[in-house]
Amino acid sequence: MSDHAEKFCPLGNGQAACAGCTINQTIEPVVSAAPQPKQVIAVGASGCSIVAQYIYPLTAWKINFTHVIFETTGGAMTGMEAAYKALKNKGRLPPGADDVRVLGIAGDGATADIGLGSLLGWCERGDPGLYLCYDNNGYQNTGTQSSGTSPKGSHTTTTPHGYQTSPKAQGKDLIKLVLCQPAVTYAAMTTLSTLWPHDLEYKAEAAFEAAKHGPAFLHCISPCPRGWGYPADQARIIGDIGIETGVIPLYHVIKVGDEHIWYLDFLPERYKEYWNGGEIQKDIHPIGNGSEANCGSKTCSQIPQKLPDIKRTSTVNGKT
Amino acid sequence: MTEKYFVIKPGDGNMMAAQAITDADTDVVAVYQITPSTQVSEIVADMKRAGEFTGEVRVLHGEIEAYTACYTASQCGARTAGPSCSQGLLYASELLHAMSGARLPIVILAANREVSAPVNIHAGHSDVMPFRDSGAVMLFAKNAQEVYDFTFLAFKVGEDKRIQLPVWVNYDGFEVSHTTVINKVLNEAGIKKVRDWLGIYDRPCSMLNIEHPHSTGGLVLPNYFMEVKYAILQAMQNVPKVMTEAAKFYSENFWPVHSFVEGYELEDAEYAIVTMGSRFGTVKEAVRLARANGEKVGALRIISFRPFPVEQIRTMLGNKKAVAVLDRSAVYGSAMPPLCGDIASSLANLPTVPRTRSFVDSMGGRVLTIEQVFKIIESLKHPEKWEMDTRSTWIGVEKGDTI
Repeated sequence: MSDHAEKFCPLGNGQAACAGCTINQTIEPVVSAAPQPKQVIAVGASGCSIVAQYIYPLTAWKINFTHVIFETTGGAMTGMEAAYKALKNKGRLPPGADDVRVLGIAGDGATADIGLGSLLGWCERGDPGLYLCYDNNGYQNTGTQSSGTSPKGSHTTTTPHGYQTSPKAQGKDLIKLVLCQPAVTYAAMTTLSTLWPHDLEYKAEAAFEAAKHGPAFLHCISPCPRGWGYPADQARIIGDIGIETGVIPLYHVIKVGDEHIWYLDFLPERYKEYWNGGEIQKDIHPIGNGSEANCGSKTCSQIPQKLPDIKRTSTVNGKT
Repeated sequence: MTEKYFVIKPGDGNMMAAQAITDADTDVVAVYQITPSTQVSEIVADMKRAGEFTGEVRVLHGEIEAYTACYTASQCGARTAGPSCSQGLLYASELLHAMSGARLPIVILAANREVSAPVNIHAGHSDVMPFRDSGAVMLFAKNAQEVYDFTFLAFKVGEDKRIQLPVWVNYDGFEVSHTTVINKVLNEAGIKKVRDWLGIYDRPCSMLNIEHPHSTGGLVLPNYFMEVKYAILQAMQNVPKVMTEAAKFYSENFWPVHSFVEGYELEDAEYAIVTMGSRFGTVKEAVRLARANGEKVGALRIISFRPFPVEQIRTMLGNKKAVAVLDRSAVYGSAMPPLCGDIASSLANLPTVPRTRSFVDSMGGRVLTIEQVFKIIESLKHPEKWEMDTRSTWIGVEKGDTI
């Protein structure tokens, strides 16, 4: 499962992403985690992903993909699901379309701001499908404006630090919002990192499994070198820092019966003394929870203190 | 017509729209309710409950969501229809432009209603006119029967390989949507025949075509953008031929249907009144009465607003002395509202161009009376007395214009 090279790769050549962009690294493992990756039909809201992967007449997509407008990813997913169901019931599915999965891809602006109603409406309807929010903490496609998921205190072009201006004052927790809808079958926060390199894949696999029965939501923090201002080769190190400082909490929520049950996947060392929520879930991933086991608490002492000092050689899967 | 394919059924415009959706074997209907087109979604949902409608009905959280669902469902190769009107169309305006660019033959059933502010739920064409240049085919029905007939034509024409464009079936809110009349609807044999005729919607780049994946709707930069839009124009130019074929089949096999324009007493007329939608009945009646008084006047109804039947208009109106055009939507700050502007530009460059006078009437459900039409006919005979050549004359406004 974890051998990515053997898998069908949904994105081919011809990407136009910025150097060091993590969106493709986010989308690829998610599509590949589907039971039949070729049968994933994807819809993308306007944003970096559209521009990066599909500039006519070139497309990097090797699966069926369509772009809709900015704010209606949820409605788009419902339409695809409805069409699949209708054609299935009428016996008119094209050959090879026996296990089609609907995937919605949207950035944080398209998910948390302009398309929040669409997301929550889709969750309320309970349509099967997986919604992937690649969250680069701002409107990076238009040049780092503040979005609903930009953390409190963010410096963006519309919430600049400086004389008589203040940084962003609000934060937003998307997963809490999503979980107000009882139909949601799975929700998880993940990111790209060197320490938990398979976290996204595992969660995508679990999400696709849950998505058979209803809406599943994957919130992936995808660092943006241009917007966040770090060197282009450091994206996964940024993810490491986010995880280890608790800025990016790794957790997932599953639905058991009518209840949503939260699991914290990793508790950073420095927060352990504040933790009174019981045992940390150790075996969330049925396959290879080694990512945590190998590098769980060991790495906390190795957090780089500031960005320019980051050395790529520090820790990969527990090896130095 | 060798075989009887119809039964008589009383129903209003909304019911006929829902009936046509069901009879055309539509795969997906995505709805959000809005007066006066709400009943279409209610009736389709009820037909689904009763097992008559075998497609999927999806109730979404707003028109923009509903039309997005139509958009992607159509991308997946499903025959798709979406009813809405007024604020709903404005709310979904992004999609209504996108679906013609993406070449999706979605049928939009619009029970035309005025737009805010002030709030008004009654008939008017102000909701559809903002989309007249969106690249969609637009038909205007005059009664519930035409709503039913045009829905089949809409699917047939829109899904044709030469067209692949969204088609609007417009009908006046309440005046058609809620007015129950006696209609012909297809019986079981007729439904089978019409479904055979429509075939199944075969989209070559369907998203469910797993073996040959496609990307659609992506970013197109200046090097290709105008080519993509030009293709819409070319498809639009194919509509008259395809529509003629479709209307011919429908008329020969089921019952007669008008497709581009409907003329009344135009042959020897010196003056003509042009309109769209349900008010044609009033205009026709006024023309009939005026004819009895010896007036040489005729009436013309535009059915296919997009593509605009320029050739027919030049033939039918080119030899008239003066033409009055009755718009049900306004223009503020220019000479002519949409319909009149199109009529005038269609007649331009003829050796002798008829004088054209623009009227705005019946907005927000106000009733156009036969007496008002008489006044219009009278005014056509005296173009030298026209005070307003630079803007439309509004009919029936208190302390407003005089005809």
